[in-house]
Order: sequence, then structure tokens, then C-alpha cells
Amino acid sequence: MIRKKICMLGAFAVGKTSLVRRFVEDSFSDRYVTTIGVKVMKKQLTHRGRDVTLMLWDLHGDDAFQTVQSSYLRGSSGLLLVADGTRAETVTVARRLLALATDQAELDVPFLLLINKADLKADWDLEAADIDEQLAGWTVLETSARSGDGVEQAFELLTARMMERDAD
Amino acid sequence: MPTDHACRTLLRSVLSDKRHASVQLDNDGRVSLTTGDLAWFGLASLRLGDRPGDSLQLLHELPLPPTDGRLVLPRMELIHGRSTDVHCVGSEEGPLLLFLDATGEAHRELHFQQRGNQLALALRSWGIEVFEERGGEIRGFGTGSPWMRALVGGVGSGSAAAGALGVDPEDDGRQPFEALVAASPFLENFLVDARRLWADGGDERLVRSGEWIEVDELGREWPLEASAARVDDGRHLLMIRSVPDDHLRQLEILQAARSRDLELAGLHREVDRKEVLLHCIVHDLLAPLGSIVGGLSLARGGKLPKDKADAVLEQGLAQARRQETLIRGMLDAFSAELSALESFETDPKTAPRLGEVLRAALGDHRLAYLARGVELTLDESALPGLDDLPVVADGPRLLRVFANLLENALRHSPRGGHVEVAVAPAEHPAADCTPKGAIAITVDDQGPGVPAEDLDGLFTRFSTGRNSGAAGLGLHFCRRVLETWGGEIRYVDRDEAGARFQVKLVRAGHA
Repeated sequence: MIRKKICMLGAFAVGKTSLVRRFVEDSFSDRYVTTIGVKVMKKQLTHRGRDVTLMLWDLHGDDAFQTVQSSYLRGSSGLLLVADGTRAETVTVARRLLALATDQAELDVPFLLLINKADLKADWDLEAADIDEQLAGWTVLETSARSGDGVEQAFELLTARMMERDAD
Repeated sequence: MPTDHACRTLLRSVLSDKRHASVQLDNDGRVSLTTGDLAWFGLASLRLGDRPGDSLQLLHELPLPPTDGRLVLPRMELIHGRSTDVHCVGSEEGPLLLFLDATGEAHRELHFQQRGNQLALALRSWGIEVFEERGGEIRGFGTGSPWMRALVGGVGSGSAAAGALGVDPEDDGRQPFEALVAASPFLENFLVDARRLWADGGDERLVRSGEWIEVDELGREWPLEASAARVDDGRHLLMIRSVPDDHLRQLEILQAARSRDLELAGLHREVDRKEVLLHCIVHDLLAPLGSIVGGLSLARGGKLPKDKADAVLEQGLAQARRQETLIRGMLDAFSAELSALESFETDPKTAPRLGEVLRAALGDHRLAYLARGVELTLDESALPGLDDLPVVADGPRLLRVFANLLENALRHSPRGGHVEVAVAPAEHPAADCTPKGAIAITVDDQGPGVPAEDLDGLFTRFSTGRNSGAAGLGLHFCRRVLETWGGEIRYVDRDEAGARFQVKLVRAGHA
């Protein structure tokens, strides 16, 4: 059995816990409950005939009240950076957390940026041009933990990239 | 050695400051209290004084009484004026600390287990498990806190260390710590930091895990926190404690703070929406005036033939009535306007017809163009059947988009100039736009074009570079509503002089 650790990183209330819950339990709640600390959940899937266990580290949101410890990222095989399409500033937080992962935790692992809350696209204040300009070279996916759109695809894509990295 | 009075004063001070104290008893039963950084024991964030019995958080290096002995601490006012007697008694289970209230009823018990001269405290009643690292192996003195039992099943305190302490082992062959680590990837990760601290020998004495949550087989969540410490006497300790109260309190505070942040952000967005709405209202009031002024200007000289003058006045009157209707409608529907911004038609049966909207926009501006001597034409040769072509949009807003572009083009056109509106499918070479199925509408004028330095902020709010004299909201409005509908607007550089704005719309019903 292959085990891969994935850390969910992002500002508070971007939907990290909801994305994990949608992926693992296929459920969603509209009620916002902030995450304190770290919670690890597991999900098994098959990639090209091989069983893979994803250890999903749902980290608390990063803001003035709580900061993510770089030690949490140790041993990660992949990162899911999460931003909220209705709050452009959450992309900046995601960029900062990626810097934490690469500079302090010295990680060089595949990552994706998920722009969550695609179901609220009418309220987005993110411009496609801004994303293209700010995040050149990043893989950016739109997701909705509420509807489930893009969620499974995001985890599967990251899994594929992690497995490809192993094969290199 | 402090006096009883000093002890009381100190404790009171400690409790009121929510700080921590260590308590030491000598063999004569006298007590000494010291405050200081007890963070190494992993208890720094336990709160004091909020519940009966939450008074003495830690007793460290306690010389324990024999089995039948008893040490009595002086009566102390510990919590909210409540006097509490603290007794330390020997018992067959090991030393026991009793907190007695004024009636003599014990409301808190703490058990201690002693290892040689060194004391390891298992604060079972507070859900604290203590482990010691020796020779690379980590053993527990754990007495089986509720969370420990829930997470690792029936594993008891059956370690060699526990046996050496004289505690009756419940050895089932498994080491509790190993079972816990196997169940907790978080703890496994934290052990790397703990071992680094123990091996380091530097000034650092304590490393904390931060809070994490384990879920037992029944789905219950256990908030935990671990601390690894190098103690003065050379021991390497690892303490894990359950922090349900801390967790709830933090949750309560952070939830409130973050919810307020989100509300504030929501209010900012609401203000933004209202700014756009304000622009819509101003535009709706202004647009008919252009035609009215244009018509009156033409009629003023009295040189128009009567039939043409009548037609011009009739159109002007119609625009004035339209304006009146708009004002009344706005007053009625002000609140509904916000949601209308977000609603649009995608059903091909009910979606607005592109041809109808375009022709209405051109018709509304014909007089204003005539008055300025600017020719206005529509080229639909690349996409016949416009009048029956449904597009994803809201009809009135789409009309406003085209009106904005036509007014913009007119404002920058020289007298005698030409503004051409052209429609083409995305796949048409002239359209130069993607994806297939989209429709491109271009508005070309013969004005000076948009200076390169104004291009960056062209579609942002209050961009007035090209729009001097305008509020700078028109193109922002266009971009906002078009993107809501899945379309877009862009400025296209072209070889000829003049500006070209291209609007992309999605056909309704197009997959």
C-alpha cells in the first residue's frame, strides 16, 4: 500500500475542511465551523491499478490568530493550496503558504491551487487575468465543495502528479 | 520558606493573573510556592480559577508521604473566595492529592506515581498522559486517560516502567505509546521534533505540537496537545493532554472573530455592488437625455421640414416618457435591482435575442449620433438571423452594455466619423475569439484609441483615462455583467486608427 501525505493549506474559511469532507465523506454543510489545530483524514483510491492511501492533513486556516507550523508539512508528498474565489486576498495567503512550504519546510512537491466556491461565481472578485498573471505556471482548478464540482478531479490530479514524481 | 500568609498571597496573585505555580512540600509538611515558567510540563495554557478544583495545576518534585501518612497544606483561598483544604495522603494506589471544599467533601483527586527519587505525574483527572524516552525507547506511565483508552482500546499501563513503579500492570502485550503512534500520523510527525529536542542538548527545553484532533472508533473527537521536554535532571518527557475546554474556548473566540471578518468582507462587497447599481441608475437617467437633447438641437433651428421635425420631437417625447418610466421603476424596484444584477437568462426560449437588443441600442442612439454628425452602422453579414439568436444575458443589462459602448465610441469620434458595430461567430476569422459557439460583437470607432498607459486599468472601476468627463464606471459595469454571464469584454489593438471593443457572448442553449 502506498501512503501519500497531502496538506491542505489556505486562509481561514476558504473551504479546506469542506473540500476534505466532500472528498472523503461526500457530504457538505453550509454551517461555517472554523478549524482549530490539525485533523488527519484518510481516503483510499486506486491510481493506475495501484492502491493509494491519501493522508489528508486538514490544517487550520492561516491568519493573525493562528499560523501554520512548517513542521506540519514535513513528509508531505503534495500540497493543495486553497483560495476562496469571493475573497481575492486569499490567493495572496496561498502564495505565502507555498513560500513557507518551499523555503522553511524545504518541500519540492507537486501542488495545485484550488479556487473554491465556484458555486458563488457571480460573487467572485478574482479576475481570470489576475490569476494568469500572478500565478504563471501554477495549475489552478475551480472547485465547489458545496456541489462537489471539481473536487474529486483535484485530488486525483494531485495524486497522479505525486505518483509521476515518484516514477521520475 | 514563605509564611502561610505569603503562600496565600502568592496563590491569589497567581490565580488572578492566570499564571502558574509550582508547589513544593518539605518533609515537615511545610509548603513553598514558586511561580515561574512551567511550560516545560506542557501545562502553560491550562486555565486557572474557572472551575472548582482548577487551582493547583502542578505539583512537582513532591516528597510524598508514606502509605499511611498525610501532609496537610494550609487552608487557602483558591477560587473566587472559596476556601479549599489540600491534603496529600499516602495510599495503596500511590500518593493521592485531595482537594476538599469547606464541607470536607473531596471535589478533586490527583494520583501520583513515583519512580525512584524522581516523580512522574500522571494527571489522570485532567486527561494528561506522561511518557519518558530512554535509550530511544518511549514508555508510558499512563494510567489510561479516557482519550487514551478511546483511541488505543483496552491498552492499560502495562509498561515495564509502570511495573517498576509498583503499579499493578494490566499488561496485554501491547505498549500503549506504540499503539497510539500507530493510530496517529500527527503524533508520529511530532516525534521527529521531540527526538530532535532530546538529542540536541541546546538551550531549547520544550517543543509543543500545537493542537490536533483524533477521532475514535465511535466518531468522537478528542482535541489533544503534546509537549516534549528536556527536564533539568536529564529526563526526556513527552506529555500529551486532552484539551477539550481549551478547544471549545478557542473555537468560540476564533469563530466569532473570523465570522466578523467574513461579515465585514461581505459588507465591502455589498458596497461595491451598490456602486455599480448607482452607475446603472445614473446611466438610465442620462441615456434618454442624449436623444432628447439631440432631437431638440435638430429642431431648434426650424430648418427641418415639418414632418421630420414632428418625428424628431415625437422621438424626444418618447425618450422623456421612457425616462419617467425608468425613474418610477427604479423607485419601485430599487431593492430588487441588486439581485437582478446576478440573474440572467440561459434558457434559449426566454433568453434575449441578440438582434433585438442590438437594434434597440442603435435606435436609442441614432439621434445623438445624427446630432454629432457621426455615422452609425451595423454589419451582420457574418452572422445572419440575429433577431432569432438567443444569448446568455439579461436583456436590459445587455442593452446597457451596448449603450455604454456606443456612447463611449461617440464621445471619442471626430465629427464626420464612422462607428461600426459588427457581429460574427467566434469561428469567423474576423472575430478572433474563443471558444466555439461564442459570438463576438465589435464596436469600432475612428477616435484616437486607448493610450497604452490606460490599458491596464481600462475595465476597472473609476478608470477615467479615456473616459474623461465620465464616471469611469461604464466599462467596469460591462466587464462585471458580461463575466457574470460567462462572456467577456476586451480592448483589441488594431492596425487602423481608432478603438475596438470586443464583447463575447455565449449562445443560450449551447453546451
